[in-house]
Amino acid sequence: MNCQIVQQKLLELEDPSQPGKRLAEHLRSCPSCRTVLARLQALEAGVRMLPVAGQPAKAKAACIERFLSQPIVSPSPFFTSQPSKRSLSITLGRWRWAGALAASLLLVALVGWGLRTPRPKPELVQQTVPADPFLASVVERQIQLSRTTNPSERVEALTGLANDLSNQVQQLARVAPGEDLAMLARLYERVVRVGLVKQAVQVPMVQRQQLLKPVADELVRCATRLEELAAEVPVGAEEPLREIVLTAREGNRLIQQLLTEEHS
Amino acid sequence: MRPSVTQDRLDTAPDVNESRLILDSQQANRQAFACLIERYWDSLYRWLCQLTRDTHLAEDLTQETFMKAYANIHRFQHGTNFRAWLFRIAHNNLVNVYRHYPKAKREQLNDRQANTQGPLEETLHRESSELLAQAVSRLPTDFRSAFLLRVDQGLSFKQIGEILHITEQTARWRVFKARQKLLATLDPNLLSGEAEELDRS
Repeated sequence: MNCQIVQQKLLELEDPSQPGKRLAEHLRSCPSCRTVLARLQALEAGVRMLPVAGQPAKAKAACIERFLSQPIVSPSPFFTSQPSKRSLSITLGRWRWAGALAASLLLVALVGWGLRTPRPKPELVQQTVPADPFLASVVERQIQLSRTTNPSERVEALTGLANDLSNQVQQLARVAPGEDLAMLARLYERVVRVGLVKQAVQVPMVQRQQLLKPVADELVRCATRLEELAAEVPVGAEEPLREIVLTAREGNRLIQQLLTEEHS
Repeated sequence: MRPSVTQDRLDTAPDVNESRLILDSQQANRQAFACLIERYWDSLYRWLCQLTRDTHLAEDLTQETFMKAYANIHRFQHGTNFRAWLFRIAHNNLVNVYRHYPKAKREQLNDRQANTQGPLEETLHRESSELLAQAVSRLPTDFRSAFLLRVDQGLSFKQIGEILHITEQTARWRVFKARQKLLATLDPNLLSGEAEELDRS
């Protein structure tokens, strides 16, 4: 191997302190390549010693303290450092949290019903109510869902959750990135299609009119509101809103079928 | 107040204890996850700070990364590298931020010299340290990111590829280019003392 190839291979090494047998053979007899290797090792040792600005120890301690003292589900107090210098995307990033959290809570509820087995209450339920109103309402709904004992109660709780989600989408539609709204739209679809409609089917005939009629009306109102809003929001937000509109209309259609069944 | 890299690397070596902490975190044990924050904060902050050149942004991203990691800890697969998993989340956060960050601001940050004030550097090769920091900060972000993950964090090319969503070969190439640029940029005399010492050893 000539020196040019050896030196290129040295720079490609994962760990320059272990050049391998063939390279080591060449290095033993070549002071020039040894110098390159030594410079490379010195460079990397120097990089590892480079200081970083700021006060990471202080920030770390503050972060851990907040993490341990605040409810897990509340990102807001956790992100209190330097709000004026925080980028818009990080601020909006909270909504991704909200959606992810809501999704996970819903999943807990849905899986819980599916398995029908007693399970310890998740830690989230035992926490204090988070500072963010939306997150607080989602936690409340989750607690409500975990306490339900029949389909009628679940329909009520899920209708509340669907309303919370659609209200949240309305509030965020003009400012949040499309991907966040899309996540909320998917969640709304899950709540209505997987949760609400399936539970509505199990509601006893005698209760349907009284219980499901208001649910259907609420779905229609949601579809109307978001359809109007979809015409005004920025590009990227329109599609998730229209998905919610479709979900709400489809939910209404299926619930109307259940109401018709009752009459026939 | 800077983190000691050597100590940090020793503390963060994957071990049985870490697996226990991850398992406990997956059972919603916040104390266990706080131990993981304690372990990985310095190295994660360090990497983000060197990439963003903005201490406040680096702090926010570090916090956000840990919050996301905790929220998704149930997805972490045992037997894989927790550090690499954490850095992948951080990288995704960073990409999201940069999508919204004005380009001019980023360039301004990249042009800013690293703040190398510190008692250690004042006594030990302060000038060399500053020149080295400047040279690293002038590397293209892609090269810098891969290079620091390899050199500073001790991650393999394969892990770097997973974090940055590139192939192992591309990770190797980026580290190669970063090394090549740094050696070409830096004055040969700058590292001569250390190099001679290493050569002798």
